[in-house]
Parts: sequence; C-alpha cells; structure tokens
Amino acid sequence: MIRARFSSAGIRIVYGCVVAVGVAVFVAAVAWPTVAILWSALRGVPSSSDDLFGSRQLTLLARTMMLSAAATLLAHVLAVCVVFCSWPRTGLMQGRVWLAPLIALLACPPFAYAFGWDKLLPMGWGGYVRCVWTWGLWAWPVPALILSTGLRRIGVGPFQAALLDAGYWRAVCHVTLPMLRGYAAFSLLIVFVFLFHEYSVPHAFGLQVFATELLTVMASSSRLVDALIPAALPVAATGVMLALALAAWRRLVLSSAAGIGPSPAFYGRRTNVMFFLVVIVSWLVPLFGLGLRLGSIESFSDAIGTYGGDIASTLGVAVGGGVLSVLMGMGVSAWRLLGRVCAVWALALGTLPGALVGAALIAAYNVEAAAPLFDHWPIIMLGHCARFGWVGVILALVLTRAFPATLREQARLDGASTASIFFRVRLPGEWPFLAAGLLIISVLSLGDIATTTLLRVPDFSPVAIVVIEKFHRFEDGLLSALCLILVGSGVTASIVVSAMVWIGRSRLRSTS
Amino acid sequence: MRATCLRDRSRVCTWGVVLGSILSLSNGCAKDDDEQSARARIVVYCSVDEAFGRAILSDFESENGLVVEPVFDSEAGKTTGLIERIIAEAESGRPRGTVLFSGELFNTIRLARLGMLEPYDSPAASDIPSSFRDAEHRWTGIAARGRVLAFDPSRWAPHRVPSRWEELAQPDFAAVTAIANPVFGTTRGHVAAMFALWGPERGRAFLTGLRDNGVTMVDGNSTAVRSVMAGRVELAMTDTDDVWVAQRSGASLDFRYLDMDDGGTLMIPSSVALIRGGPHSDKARALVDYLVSAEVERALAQSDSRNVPVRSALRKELGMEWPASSAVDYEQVADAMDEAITAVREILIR
Repeated sequence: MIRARFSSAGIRIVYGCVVAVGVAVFVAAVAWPTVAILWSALRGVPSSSDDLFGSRQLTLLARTMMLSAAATLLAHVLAVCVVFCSWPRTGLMQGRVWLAPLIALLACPPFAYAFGWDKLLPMGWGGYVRCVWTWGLWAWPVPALILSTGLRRIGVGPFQAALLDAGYWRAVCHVTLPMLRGYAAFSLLIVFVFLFHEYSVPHAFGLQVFATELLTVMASSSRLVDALIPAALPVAATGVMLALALAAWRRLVLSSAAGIGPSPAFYGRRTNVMFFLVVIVSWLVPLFGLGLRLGSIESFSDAIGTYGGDIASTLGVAVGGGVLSVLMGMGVSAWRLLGRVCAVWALALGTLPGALVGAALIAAYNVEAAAPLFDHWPIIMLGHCARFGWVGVILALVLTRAFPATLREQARLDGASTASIFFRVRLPGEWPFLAAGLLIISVLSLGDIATTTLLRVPDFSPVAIVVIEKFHRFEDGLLSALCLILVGSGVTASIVVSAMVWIGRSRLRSTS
Repeated sequence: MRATCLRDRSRVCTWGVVLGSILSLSNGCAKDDDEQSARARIVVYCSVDEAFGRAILSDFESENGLVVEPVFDSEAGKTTGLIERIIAEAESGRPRGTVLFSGELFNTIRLARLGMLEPYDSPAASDIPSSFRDAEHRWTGIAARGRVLAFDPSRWAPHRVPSRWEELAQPDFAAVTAIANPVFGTTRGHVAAMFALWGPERGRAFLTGLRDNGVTMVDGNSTAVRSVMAGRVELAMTDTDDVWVAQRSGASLDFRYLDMDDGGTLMIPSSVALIRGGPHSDKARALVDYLVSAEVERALAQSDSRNVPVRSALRKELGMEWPASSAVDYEQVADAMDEAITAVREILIR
C-alpha cells in the first residue's frame, strides 16, 4: 500500500517535471526568442535606407516565389504519378516497406542532392532549372504522403461507384480529384512555404533568393534592426501562406471522412515499378553524382580524421535538439488549448527563414547572464529546437488527440491519475512514435545551415557549415565524404523511424 | 504484484539507459570542462581558409599548452560577419574573442579606428615592412592575396582579357563578367580602393557602367569563379586563392592582374590583431607572435591559397614574386570605404 502510494506520488512528480521541462523548453526556444526579436524590431531605428518595397526586394520576392512554385508543381506531379499508380489497391501510408525510402529522401539534407545533381545535370541547364529540379525531386514525398492520406480518408467508395458509368481516368478526374482538393491545397501551400525559405539548394547553384540574401545580411550586420527590413516581405508572404495552409488543414480535419481506405491486399507490379523508379531517380542518382565527386575512398578517412569531433558533436547536438523538441511537445500537449496555441506558434517560428530564427535567439540570449548557454553548443541545440520543435509539438498533440477518450475515462474510473494514464497507458504504446519524431527532428537539424551560421560558437563547426565551406574551396572529396556521412545518418534514421512507426502501429492495434 | 514491480523496474531501467545514452552522447559535445578550465581558453576569430587555420592553431595549441578555440567565418557572412560580431560584442561590453586572424585588412583597420584593438608590437613582426604594420601597432599585415580577373583560356583568348579594371565597365566585358557582392569581402575593399585612387566620380561611373552593361552579381568570389567554370560568364573578379584552389580541382582557369590605373594591381594582406578587452589577452600575445611569424607566413604561401609573403626574404626563399601593385595606401582605402559602400548600395544593389 505504502509502496503503491509512493509509486503513485513518484509518477506524479515525474510527470510534473516532464510537463514543466517541456513548457520551459517552449518558453526558452520559441516564446522568449519571438518576444526578444519583436522587441528589438520595435525598439531599434534602422540606419540603412533600403526600401521595404525597393526593386531589389521585389525582384528577390518574384524570383523566390517563381522558383518555389515551379518546384512545388514538379513535386506534386511526381507525387500524383506515384500515388495514383498505387491507388486504389493500397495507400502509401499503409506500405511500411515504402515508408523508409520516402523518409530517407526527406531525411537527407537537400544540399547533398544539390551537389550530386550538379555533377550530373547537363551544362546547359542553368541555375534556375537545376534548383527547381533538385527541390522537386527532394520534396515529392511530402505531397505523396498527404495525398495518399487523403485517398485513404475519402475511400474507394465514390470512385468505384463512378467506375460503373465511366472509365478509370474519367472517374479519377471527375470524382476523386475534386474530393482531394483540400488535401492538394494544403500540400501545395506547405511544400511552397518550406521551399520558399530553403537556403542550401539555391546557394549551391549560385542563385540569390530571399534565404541567401537574408542570411548574408544578418550574418554581416551587428544591428539586428537593420537586418529585419529585408526580412519583412518574406515573413509577410510566409504568414499569408501559413494562414491559408492552416485554414485548409482545419477544413480537412472538420470534414468527415467518406470511408476508410482498403487494406493492402497485394502490391501490383506497376505500383512497384513506378514507385521505385521515382525513388531511384530522385535519391540514388544524385547520390551516385556525389560518389563521382568523391574522387577516392580516402576522402572518408580524411573527413573523419579532420572533422570527426565536429561530426560527433553535430550528431550529439542534433539528437539533443530532438530530445528538447519532444519534451517540449509532451509538455505543452498536457493542455488542450495551450497545446494548440503552442503548436501554431512553434510552427510559425519554424517556417520563418532560418536566419531570422537565429537572429531571434541572438536577440534573446546574447546577454551576460546567458553566457553559459550562448557561448557554447547548447545555443545550437536550442536553435534546432526553435526551428524544428513544431514537429515534436504537433506529434505530441496528434498522439494526445488519437488516444481514445473511452480508454481515458475507464482509467479514471479505475482511479488512475493523469500521470498514471500517461506513463502506464499512453507511453507504452506511443513511445515508438515519440522516438520516431525525435529522430526526424534530429536529421532535419543535421541539414540546418542558416540558423547555425548565425549561432557560431567557438570550437564547434556544424557539419553542414563545413560542407558549404568545402564547396567554396572546391574540395570535392571532403565535401562528398561529409555529405555521404550525413546521408548515411539520414538513411539509418529513416529505417529506424519506419521500424518505430510499425512497432507503434502494432502496439496501437493490439491495445484497441 | 511482483510481476508489476518487476515490469516497473525494467521500465525505469530502460528509460534510465536511454536517458543516460542521450546524456553521454550530448556530453560528447562538451570537452572535459575541468581540464579546460585549468588552461586559458583563447577564442580566435579566424577568416583565413578553415583547413589551414585549424592546422596552424592546432599546432600552436599542442606546442604552447593553451586552449585555442577558433570561430571561423562563414561564406554567408565572410570577414564582415566576424567583424560585425566583434563590434556587437564590444558594444555590449562582453568581448568573447581575443585574437583576430583575418583574411583581409580593411575591416581590421576599421576595428582599429573604432578603438577595438589593443596595441601590441610583436617582436616576431620586426622584419615585416612598415607599410604592412599599423603605426600604432594595432594590426600587422602578412601573406597577401591579389585581386585578379579569372577566365577560362579555352573559351576566352588571353589577348582579349582587358588590361585595366576600369575597362570592365565597357559593354563588351561587363555583360560577361561576374562580380561578388561588393558590400562584403575583398570585393568591398577592391571597390573602396577604386574610389580612393580614382575619386568618387570615376568610381560611381565604373559602378554605373557595370550595372548598365549587365554585370552578373553573385554572392561570393568562389561563386564568381564557379560561374566561369560553368560557362555562365566568361570573366570573374576574384582573389588569387580562389583561382588557385579551383585550378587544384582540375578547372581550366587562368587569371590576370589588372591595372588599377597607377601601374599595379591591388594586393590585400591578411591581418592579425589583439581584440581589446578580450579574455586572457596577455597569454594571447604568444598566439599573435606565432601568427605573424615567418613560419606561419611560409605555411600560408605553401598552402593551397599560395598567399604571397610580405617579407621579401621569404619571397626570395620560396621563389615567389610580388606583382606590380597599386600605390594606394591601405588607410586611404579604409577612408574611402563608407562612400564606396553607399555608392554600391545606390547603384548596384537597388
């Protein structure tokens, strides 16, 4: 009895600590930097005479939007080809063997693909085409997953009914596609927003877009307020698109599903060929290009010998950022309304240009009292959490929402506290998803350049920055070796994530 | 009951192992603090080539028992970014860096004029010509790079390369030339040198000519060189070290020193300085002595960057020539910097 009481009290204390730490991380990584940068913006007087709507700003905006839009369209074309080749027999979300390559594509840093494609694409392809090509072939898994989810939710019923009177493609175009409008709109906006602020691929092809301009200005200015002027237009554009995306998402969530998609009975040969063809072209071919840049296998030993410490530190800091993000999610999801507000806030900060996120952290922590944090690697960990913590928050919210209310009520009737429900009922089933989220955030952090460029600390060079430096010094061997090490980390993480998702689904099926 | 206790215990153990692994992995990021705190830590802001900088700072560390922690510049911020960081830290009353090892000189002069450098007359710099040393001993110049025009000789015949910088503004050349953003880096210093030598009117005319005749502006010198390699342009304003490293990678590239209209080109030395108020500045003097020494200058000359030593004896030893260089004074260039940048923003950046 005493042991049970102590155990129960202990669980409550631990749960309280987890929630408190999570909220503290949210304040440290998201809330306080947002307040600090807004305060700096309102307080400072710009010394530069750059116009907010000068011709350069508008040219950059037009160029960035054009590139992002073209790449978004290409990504969706590829996604539609893959998704509709596999539907209605199965959905991508159901195929665990397909999940790993999809995540691997996204988990590997986009600059690795850029350097690989740069070696292979014809000389006549200018920077714009190369950028659109690389972006489109990197980002297509996102619309593929979203559209596939949409297809599962709308089910095959309407499509099969339409087949009675029309052919396959007429049924797809006149019945299925209109029902997918909401998912397509959400997917287009989300992909567009993320490509709009992506730095490494345009930089690799020598293009000047908002992300490269902002980072150069912010890295070269000692006055934050001077650097915020060029950030105003892209931030405003991001805000509008994000608001539209959230509105589209809300409509999708509120609308009721017409039916559940079919269970995968078999994988057709046409399905596999199309899917793996697109994966091979978009993933293996650029990696082959990286391999061509490698020169000799000794580059790996050179890379590890010279940058082994930085590689280990980069991985450790990235995992640390993942841990903070997941804790943040667990903390803020303890409250329903607060969780939603925090999710939107974290997502808004995360979708801003990386340079702006870095500037926000500088505004928040470049003070004497924060020296132990700001002068060392923890600030970079916090930077990763600020940029990608929204993944942890949204994941935790989705898991909380997905937990059956009936199960919660039954547990409460049995006398279980919130803490007990969390540790004894929810966590055993949800930990694989949390672990998967941690890994996803970690691999996303590995490819972050803009934020870590601003948050340079002594004696620690994140590998992504080293890769860019090697690119500018024409050291292709080291560049390729470091990129392939990051790709290896991404592939390993994607396999583990897929396994975690499968374990998690199995546990959820066994408990429901 | 017993099974429940065992299961709880195993869960605690599992989570304990997981958390312990994460903590130890994150701890891999931090060195042994106890050991480090016993040795002075000197932060060096370094904008020379990163691989070279790591090597020589590591050599110094192992020979002197000091902990040297470099902060390298980034391609995005370049030296300007490091300088702005130093200024921001000084203004906040919390300078973190102690030594500046810069790949150029003009920003270092700017820091000196702002009173952010500590005078130190290094005995190791006694054989460096006075034109490369500050009169008040606030900075020392070593190992210079030259401003050059790069081209691919297989596509652009060498006899077609202009001989003077001012010719680049002509329609025949500007349209096929790439220039790094003149607000940053050595291009900034180069444009300021033009303003210092030619005067503001001619300088503005040059920039206007470049703009009107369609010069391609890119974000850095190496991007300008890559643009030549990729065939997007034929000529690139850049530094010698960018061409050398591109040639090492097998690129078909050559370069010319163009005339600044006074019989020579612009040579930009690297610079070493002590940051005022930085931690352990007394111990950092040993590092400054090392960085301005002939040993480091020799290493820079023998590195991929092939910087030209400012010491004539060293040049003779290594068989390197100092190209005919412009007579412009580096302090004059620093004087002209603000006016040049304003003109660049008005003419090229808008």
